[in-house]
Amino acid sequence: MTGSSNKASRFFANVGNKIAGWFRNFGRSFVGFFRKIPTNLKKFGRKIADGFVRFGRNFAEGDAGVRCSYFIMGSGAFAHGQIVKGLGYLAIELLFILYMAFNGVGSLAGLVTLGTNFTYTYYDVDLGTGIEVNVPGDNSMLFLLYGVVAVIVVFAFIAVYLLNIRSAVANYKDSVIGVKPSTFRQDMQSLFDKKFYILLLVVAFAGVVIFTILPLIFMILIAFTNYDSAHPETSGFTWVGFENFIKLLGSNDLSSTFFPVLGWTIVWAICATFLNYFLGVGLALLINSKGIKGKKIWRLCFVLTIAIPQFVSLLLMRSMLSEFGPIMNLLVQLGFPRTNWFETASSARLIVISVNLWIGIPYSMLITSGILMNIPQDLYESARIDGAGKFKMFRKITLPYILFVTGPYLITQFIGNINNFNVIYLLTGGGPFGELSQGAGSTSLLVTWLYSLTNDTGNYNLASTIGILTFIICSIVSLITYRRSSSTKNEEDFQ
Amino acid sequence: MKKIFAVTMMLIIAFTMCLSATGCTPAEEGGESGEYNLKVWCAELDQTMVEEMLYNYELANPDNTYNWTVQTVGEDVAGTRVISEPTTAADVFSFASDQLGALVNNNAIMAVPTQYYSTIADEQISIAEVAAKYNNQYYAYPYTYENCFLYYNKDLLSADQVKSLETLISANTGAEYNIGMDMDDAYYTSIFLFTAGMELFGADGQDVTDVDIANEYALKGCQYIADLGSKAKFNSIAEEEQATALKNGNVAAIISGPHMVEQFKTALGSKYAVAKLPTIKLDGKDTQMVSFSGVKLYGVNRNTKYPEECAKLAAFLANYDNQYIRLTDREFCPTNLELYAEAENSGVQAVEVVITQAEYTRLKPAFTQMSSYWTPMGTFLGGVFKKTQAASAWQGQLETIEAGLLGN
Amino acid sequence: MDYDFKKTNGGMKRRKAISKSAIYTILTILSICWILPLIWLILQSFGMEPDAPYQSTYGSPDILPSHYTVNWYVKLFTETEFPTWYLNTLIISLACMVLSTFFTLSMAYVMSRFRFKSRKTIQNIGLILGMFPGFMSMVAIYYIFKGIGLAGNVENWKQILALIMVYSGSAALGYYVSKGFFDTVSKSLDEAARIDGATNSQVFRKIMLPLSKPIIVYTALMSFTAPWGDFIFASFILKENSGAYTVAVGLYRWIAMAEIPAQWYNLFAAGAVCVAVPITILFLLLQRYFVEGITGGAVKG
Repeated sequence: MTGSSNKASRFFANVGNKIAGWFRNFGRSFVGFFRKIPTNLKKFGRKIADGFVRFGRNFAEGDAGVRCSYFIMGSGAFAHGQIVKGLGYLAIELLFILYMAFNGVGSLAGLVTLGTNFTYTYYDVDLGTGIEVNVPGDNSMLFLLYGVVAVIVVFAFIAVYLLNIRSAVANYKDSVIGVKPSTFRQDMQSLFDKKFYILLLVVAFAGVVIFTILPLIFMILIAFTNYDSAHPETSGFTWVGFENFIKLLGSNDLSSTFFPVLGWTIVWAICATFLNYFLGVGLALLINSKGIKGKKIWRLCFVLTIAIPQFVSLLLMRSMLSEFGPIMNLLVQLGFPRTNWFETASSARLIVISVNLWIGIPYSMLITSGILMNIPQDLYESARIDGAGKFKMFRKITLPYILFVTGPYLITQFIGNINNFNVIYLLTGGGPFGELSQGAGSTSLLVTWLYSLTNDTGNYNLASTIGILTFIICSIVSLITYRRSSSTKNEEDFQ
Repeated sequence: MKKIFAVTMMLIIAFTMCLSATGCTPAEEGGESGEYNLKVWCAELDQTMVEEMLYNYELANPDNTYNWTVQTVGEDVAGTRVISEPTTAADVFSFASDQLGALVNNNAIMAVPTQYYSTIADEQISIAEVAAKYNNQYYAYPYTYENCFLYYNKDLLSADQVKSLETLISANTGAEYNIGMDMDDAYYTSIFLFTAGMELFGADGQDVTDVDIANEYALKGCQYIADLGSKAKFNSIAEEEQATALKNGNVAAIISGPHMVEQFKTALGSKYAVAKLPTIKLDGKDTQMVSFSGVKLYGVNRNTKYPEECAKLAAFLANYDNQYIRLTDREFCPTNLELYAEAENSGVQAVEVVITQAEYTRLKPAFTQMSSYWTPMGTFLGGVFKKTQAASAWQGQLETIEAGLLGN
Repeated sequence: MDYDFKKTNGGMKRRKAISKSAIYTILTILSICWILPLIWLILQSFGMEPDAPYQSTYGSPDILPSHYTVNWYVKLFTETEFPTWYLNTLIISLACMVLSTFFTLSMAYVMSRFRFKSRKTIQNIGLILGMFPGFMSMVAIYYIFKGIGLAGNVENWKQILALIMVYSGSAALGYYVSKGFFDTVSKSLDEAARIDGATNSQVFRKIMLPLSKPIIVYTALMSFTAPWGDFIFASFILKENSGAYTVAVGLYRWIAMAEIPAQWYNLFAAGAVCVAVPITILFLLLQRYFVEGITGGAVKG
């Protein structure tokens, strides 16, 4: 008797210690992260300074070819017989000059002003019937877009320019040593060999830059404007600096919406992630336990929900759980009073968490099953030889193995749940709207709020601000957890 | 690193060159006279009807060729869409009257040319004429008038029982609920406040400076709503569930607008019946419920390439013949004076009821300030119904809403 | 915890039997909970109001329809735009499958095999980009496409092209799982090949790819199924041009934005079944690769 109670208290003490330790580590990494910032900044600054020094030195020490290439790109290549490369660089320089002359300077200026002439109308007497004709004015959105593009072009050109110098220097150095500079054909060949990675990377990366980075820069900039439903792009919007952030974080109507939504987002992410995870692991263990027949069929039942597009299952759930839907009807027949689960904040929140379990458990179950099937059996063999009981084997081998392998998965799931749009939006649309304002409801996540601000009311600047804040939160969480888990990852011990 | 970066950037330079080269939305030349590419927006259920009307329009103008693009965009959002994306929005679109203010202020809608003034001023009912006007200028072509009324299951309720809300609630119908409506939507809950005597933007709803909401009438209305919350036979039912509830006999009557006609007819079948809004007992007296009313209009996009043709088309879509088609096809109450007079005895139930209710309505104001009314009032009155708002807080809440309406 | 092995055999067997039956019961109940909604969906797609073959069963008091018909499927393929949408989505997903797999695998291979100066930077960039909410860039992408003439008042095929570009454009960011897989392939194979004189690209093509079948299948499967379920991006870019819709946008608009959801209800169920069946079959056939992909990447992740 006393033995087991001792054991129990020891178990709880252990758990308590572990949790305390975890929090302590969390705090430590948090502080450490911020303390490291100044040293990182110093390193970065020094790198830039070095770059400038090198720039000047190359000019001073280089030969005629190098010096020319500072002004006429490609001359370094010409001087050493690389015709094609030289022509390439020259062409880029000409294109850039043309672009800046015709479009670039105007776009850059437009970036600052975001348009000055706005739509106006006049009576067209030629039409003779007193009809007003619209003369479209400056579209601020396009101004922003072209301005950003111009900035990128400028930066890209600078990069190519520096590259040009570097290759000229390399050629010069080669000629000093006596090595023949590579021909164009050799360069191309190396692209498939030593520099293969460039070829592959460039194509893939270009896609990312155009479709992810460029729009993102764009939207981040919008967070600093006043582009909302009262200032559509045809009527022009302008820069307002940090006003949106102040409005969101200060103490007023917006912030009294922002912080509750933030709080619920975090609560939701924690509940959704951990409940899904542990219940999924539990389910996988159940299916995998010895002596259960038809493992594949059991798994199949649960995996079917993964194959159905998520929005179908969610809309299905919504209509089944509605106030006059089949489930409620069934309950009413059994004697329960008819209630609208989506009406009150607390019941709506319970519903979304439960439905999310229905959607998410199959995933974690599948992963855990895969891992369980792959645990090397000799671990168990050696443990059994040592006389370990079933439960001990589970605790010391299976559980740590699972936790270790799926640790990173857990972190990505947490981040993913912060941004889990589908479940909330399709089930409740953000939830009972009553306590919060500005388009947010009681089950709104930051992202669903962002979406309704974008789609329904057109308050793009607010949506962007929220997006940026979400990003900041996610990045802090993941930076901290990744650093911690990468340190524990080095412990490759299971025994 | 630099090499990768540079090569990537070269690709991007090429890409962005294309971007700059093509420029903004390509400026299309207006078609030669006689050929028109027109985009028309209408409600989903109207699509077939509108396509027929467009065909008739083509027949009426045999010298021109038309290329129609008909898309379904809800009338409550059409205005916002035209404002935010004028170049890809429709040339002619159908919208609800309360969006007129926003459309005018954002230069999104083209004014009515003088040749069509008389159609609006003289041939439409006065409320439609008011709805088509903003800042004393006509901007759109009205074609239907709507307000709220009562749908009920005539197997469960008799025409007498639905005359007063009190008798309705106390009637013995055997259904779970006797009557339901969407108590989270200010369009419906404001009924109780208006019935109690509250006014919005003055007696005729046209004075943007006259906002007096936090008065005794509103409080009386709130009290009535709160009392309704305790009645077991009265329930708040969301609009998407109302048809289901009627069909299954969970509820015997619903207060809603004419856009639900098709759904409720299918749901109730032979048991379908409509009546004007019942009376409610305020201060011991039976007072007729007063609801919002609205007018739907056709507007012309100010950025259209064919301003004359579109004005002609919009006027056509809102003319006598087409209003008649709407009356018979979709049970829409016409705004044309002659048709309106005939419709009262036309046998189209929904329209007759709308006309009977017409004197107890307030036109939805078109001021942009109304955007500060719908959501705050909706959540406030929803809270009053669910008793999440204490009675002592009502005055304060009303004053906040009032301040929002004035300060905007 | 003390586990007494000295219990009698009979008692042990009985305990085992009880726990086994308990597990079976739990599993059965859970499976029913999971599958029931799907069965309901399938039945609704065949459901019919008695004596009214084309009337929606939306809001029927009965949980399961009493009568069945195939009318909805017929109507789906003859009277609605669903076949066009199906074709659109098929084209988009096939194109995305090819493009996304190429991008993701290239990126993963490079990150796994090569060591170069900016590797860490690119890794961090990828991580950071993944933390922005995906559709924050929706508006910007729409304007970019409008600027180059692939969105707005343009032909359907241009809009489909735009969608393909959007879906596969940022595929390279999802390299993490694939990279984990490539890490498990022994580097000695590469070295042996290079000693024999193969260039890097030959190593990639002739050695790496054949060995990576599981991860290729996993990546292709994931990128194929993505367009079938995304309605957010697509509906924002396509707006009202219903000829260019994907299945996801069309179905979503039917049930969530229609004036009368009832009229589309059974059609929605039928359409959903048409979408779910091929994807489910794919998943079942390739289940092994799917699990290998997730766990393979996660082990080293």
